Amino acid sequence: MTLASNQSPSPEGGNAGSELGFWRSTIRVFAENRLAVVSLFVLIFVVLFCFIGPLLYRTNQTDAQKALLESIQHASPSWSHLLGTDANGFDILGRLMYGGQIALIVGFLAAIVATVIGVSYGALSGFFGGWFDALAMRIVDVGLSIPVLFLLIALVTIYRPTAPLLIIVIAAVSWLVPARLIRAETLSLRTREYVQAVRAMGGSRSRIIGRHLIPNSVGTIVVFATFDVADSILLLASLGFLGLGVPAPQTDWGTMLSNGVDVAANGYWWEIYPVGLCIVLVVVALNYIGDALRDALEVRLQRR
Amino acid sequence: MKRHLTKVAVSALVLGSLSLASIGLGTLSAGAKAKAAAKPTVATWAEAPQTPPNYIFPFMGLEYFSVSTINQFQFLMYRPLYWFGKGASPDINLDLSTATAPVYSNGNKTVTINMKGWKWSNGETVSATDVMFWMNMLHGDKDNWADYTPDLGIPDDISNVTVNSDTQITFQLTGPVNPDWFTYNELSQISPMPLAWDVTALGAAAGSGGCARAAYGSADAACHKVFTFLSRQSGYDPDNPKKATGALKSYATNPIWHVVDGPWQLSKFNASGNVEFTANAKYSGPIKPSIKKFVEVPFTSDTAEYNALVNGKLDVGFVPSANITTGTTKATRTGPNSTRLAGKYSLAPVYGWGINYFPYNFGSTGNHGTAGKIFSQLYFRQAFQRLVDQSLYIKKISKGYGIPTYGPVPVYPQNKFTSASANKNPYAYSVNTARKILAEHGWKVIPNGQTSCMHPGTGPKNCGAGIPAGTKLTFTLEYPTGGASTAQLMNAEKSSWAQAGIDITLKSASFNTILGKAVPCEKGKACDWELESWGGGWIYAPDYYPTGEAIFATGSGSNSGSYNDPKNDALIKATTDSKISLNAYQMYLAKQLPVVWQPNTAAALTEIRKGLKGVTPQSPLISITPEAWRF
Amino acid sequence: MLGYLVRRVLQAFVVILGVTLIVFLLSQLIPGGQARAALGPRATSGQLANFNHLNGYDQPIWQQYWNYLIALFHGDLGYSYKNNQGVTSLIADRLGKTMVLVGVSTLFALAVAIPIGMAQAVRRNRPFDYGMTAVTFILYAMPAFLAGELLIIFFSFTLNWLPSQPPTDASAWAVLTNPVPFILPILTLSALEIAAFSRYMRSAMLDTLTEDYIRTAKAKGASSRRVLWGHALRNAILPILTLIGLTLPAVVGGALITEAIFNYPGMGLLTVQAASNDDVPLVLGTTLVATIATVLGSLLADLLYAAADPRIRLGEQ
Repeated sequence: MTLASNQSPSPEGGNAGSELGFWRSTIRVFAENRLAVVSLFVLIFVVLFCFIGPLLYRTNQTDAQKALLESIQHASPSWSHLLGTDANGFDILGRLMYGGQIALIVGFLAAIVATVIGVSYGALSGFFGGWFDALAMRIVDVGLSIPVLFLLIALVTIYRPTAPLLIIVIAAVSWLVPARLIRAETLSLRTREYVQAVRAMGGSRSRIIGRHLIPNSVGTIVVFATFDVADSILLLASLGFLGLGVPAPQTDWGTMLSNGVDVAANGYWWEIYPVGLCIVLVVVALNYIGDALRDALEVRLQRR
Repeated sequence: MKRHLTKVAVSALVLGSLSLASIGLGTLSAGAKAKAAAKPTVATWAEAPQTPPNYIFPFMGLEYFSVSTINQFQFLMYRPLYWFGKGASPDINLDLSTATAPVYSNGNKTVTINMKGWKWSNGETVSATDVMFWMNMLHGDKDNWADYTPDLGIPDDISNVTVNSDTQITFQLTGPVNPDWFTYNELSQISPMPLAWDVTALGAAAGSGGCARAAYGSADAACHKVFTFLSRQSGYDPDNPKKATGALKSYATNPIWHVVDGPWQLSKFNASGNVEFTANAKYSGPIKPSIKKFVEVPFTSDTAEYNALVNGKLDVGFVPSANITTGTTKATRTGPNSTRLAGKYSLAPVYGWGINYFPYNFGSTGNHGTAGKIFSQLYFRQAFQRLVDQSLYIKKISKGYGIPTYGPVPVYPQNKFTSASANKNPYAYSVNTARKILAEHGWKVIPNGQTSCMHPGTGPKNCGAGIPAGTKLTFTLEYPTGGASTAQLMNAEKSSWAQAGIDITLKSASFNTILGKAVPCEKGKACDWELESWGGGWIYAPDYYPTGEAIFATGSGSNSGSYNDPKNDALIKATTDSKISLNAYQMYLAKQLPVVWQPNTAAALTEIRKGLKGVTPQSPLISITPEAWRF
Repeated sequence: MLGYLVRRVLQAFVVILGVTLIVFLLSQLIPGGQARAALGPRATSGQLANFNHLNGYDQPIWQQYWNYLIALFHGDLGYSYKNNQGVTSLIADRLGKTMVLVGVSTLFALAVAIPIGMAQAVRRNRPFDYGMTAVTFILYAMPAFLAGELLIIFFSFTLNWLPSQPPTDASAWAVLTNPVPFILPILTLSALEIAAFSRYMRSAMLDTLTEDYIRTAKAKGASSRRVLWGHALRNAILPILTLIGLTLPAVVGGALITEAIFNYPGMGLLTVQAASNDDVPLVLGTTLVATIATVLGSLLADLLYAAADPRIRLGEQ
């Protein structure tokens, strides 16, 4: 479930009559939304933090024997460990970077895979229509009806959790929504005049789907994908809580948070608040960006 | 005048002392009343998470065979023939047993048991016939009994059982046995059953089932009918196992289950694990319950139970090890309690009667067919074990609440089976020694890289039979998902093994997947698992005598890795057939390393409400005896 | 309308059937097998084989699926060894608890979210709107187990105002009869819904406020208040029914985490335990029931919506 409901707010007034390119006008409206721009910068900062950070702040994140021997477990923040250490003696700040890499990669890739599968599925279904469409959508209905967490638990319990598997599993439960969305778009688009014109001119089906239908749904696709990254990160966190996240010594924010919650009552605040803040920051930023993108695209659609 | 004064004085004195006395008595009784009013009569105990008791009939298959069902539920109502667990040791406790010590005679081929004459709550005596009842049922339905091992122990070792009188029963065995082994592993399985249960329908006359009073082994059909009836009353239908009988809801009201010889009687039972007992006034044992009601509370997770403790809702619970901030330096001493609990509760760790290890698969075809052969080399196992830093892991991961395992017999809690030398680690942690051992046997050791075999062959300085040149020490080790400290331990060990270039790939899988994989190799079937750790090792219950018949003897069902050593088999047989100590057996295995020994963490970090006495010392068999609890 | 009704119900039926197939197939993939899961580490291969035979696990897959379907028609969802109970009665015990918890949380979420969403729409782009958007996003972004644990530490341990969990033998209706211990779980569970509903309400209100007929009503002189409540609300609220239908699966799943933290033995938790025990009949049963509940929920929502909105009734879906 996402905040990407299908209704949208009314657009801001824009310069009537000026014809800008699709993307340029989108970017312009987006840039007018200051919160979204701030969120974009926050996101860029987080990505740099997770991927470039470890080059500047080197810590031991894999050798558990060494960590147990040399570091104090659950140490509070100090100059040697800026955000303290966890149950293994691993540095928490380093772990945030390391875990963030996994969280972001899994989140982004899962969203991309879900989007690609969902868009193709939905486009094909909407384009062909008839019984093919009915069957395809029933399958989607079945998938949508099963509570996501139940399905995830079943899937991950069967297969051992690794980062690539988690990407597949999360994508497997997320592709259903874009399939529905794109199918609806396709249904409405295929009756448009220009599509009928292409057909009359003898354009092949794949050309129509690939060159006309999908590009015109790009707006919806991008908005969905943005929200889906946020949702994938949250799903990963829930799996981490259930002990089904990436296996040690790898970690992701969800597993870190889950371990932190276990020791929350002991007062080890450095094991919960920093990682909680990271998750909330990234998810909120993505939501602001998604919201703004949707606004921008509605303006575009409104003018058509 | 003097006499008058004396009279007055005396009467004054008498009056004075009388009034003083009455005031005193009054205060005493008021105080006593106040104290009695304040003393709770209900004790609440936390079940381990997600393990509600689920079977009430003390004759069941493996499906229902668990500590929470047997030691923490059935035993409160139906006493086993012999009770094990004396103070903090696993020794036999004759005070709490329904019979006196078994008498072995005739070259240890005959066992005579004398019942004490305790009473069931319906007036029956716990008699020799009650024991015969259980034995007859075992004879006919041994395949339905969880602890049955073909050709070993009861009933296959028994040639005859006779009831000599109301209080005496004799077992004739097929051959001589070690009395310790027979008492601790075989007689320990028996639970006397009342005649009231010898029926095939509710309300039928006691004994009408025809099983209890029959001669041994002569009433298999009748006993099976009784077994079927009683199982159905307990929720399991042997004729139709998949059918739900809904019997659980009726446990507390069923008249069959109301006949108890233990200190407690079931008053409320719901399927989620909420269990309530009331004290059985007719209990014949030495310690009568002082509290009136005992309540078992279920929990969905460790955290939920901890939260209940912090709220003060439990009398006896446990603290998750994550919530202990300062550990202890010595397992036998208790360290400081969790800060949020310290005011209301005292910490009392209890160690289980078991060992922790994970098996090598000696028949493994993994690592290009060499895994099993590499494991078979003693020098490799020595190097491998030398890289397991048990004391570090106990100190850092278990907060000090753990015992290292060096051999098959637990050294703690104190018991009569361990030997003085069992406490010493024959393979102390030493990275250099591990590297040296490998190098001396033809391996090119590359720390944190991949060690490979440089000198193949079967000589004393070679890698060993079946190990070609260039073979790497790369193995896969699976461990259960979901436990943070298990993952911690596995990862620490992995980085430790890497110090000698032994490359272990860790994989996590569900607990049951691991159990399903860690089985002895079968001819004709693929057998490529290499190392599987289910995290729990082995608990010696109800086979309390810690010999290796179940886990280390060649061909035994729980010998997961197919460990095969004739000398070991001979040593084990000696311990089951003759009266000798376990020293030779345990010292041999401690040196032979049939499995990878692992640190044994405390079974539970029990929290006891301040002011509640009688909970400690806790039994290492994890039984609870709330009748001894006093506020 | 009748045609739509029939089609929609048939759809739901097909969906449920599809779910049984998927869940059944998934369960067949569990390695280690049922027998090992039930009998534990001490079982010999003879005992395992015996168990498989008694329970029909050595039959071909399609045969097992057929038996399963037949049993389903008789209302028999199988038997769980770990709990020594029929799956049906286990679920019956727990389903009520989850449903009541979910129901009360949803109502609470609606009561909070609708006014907030409306207020945001009216005060669009003012500090109140920005503030509530931020709060909503944060509520959405905080994983449930974090929010729940923080609530417990703050309200139960530090302030000692509320208990950290409801009584373990509470009945399903205890949420209403003894609400105090349920305050924290409901707050945790409804956080997600409040976020979603208020976002929706805000944008729906904004949409309807700019629609032509609203402007017409205003031009005709209807008072602002009347416009707001009378027209906009009525039109914006209908799709909430669909939204509730779409939200149900997530909430039923989210209840799982809430139940774990607050020790409330409902359906979600039953599933997690079943999955970690490889208790196949139980996993099948709970997933199926949860799915049926959500399918019925969204069916109801769709039917109500259809009854109210003529565009749906008469046109294509």
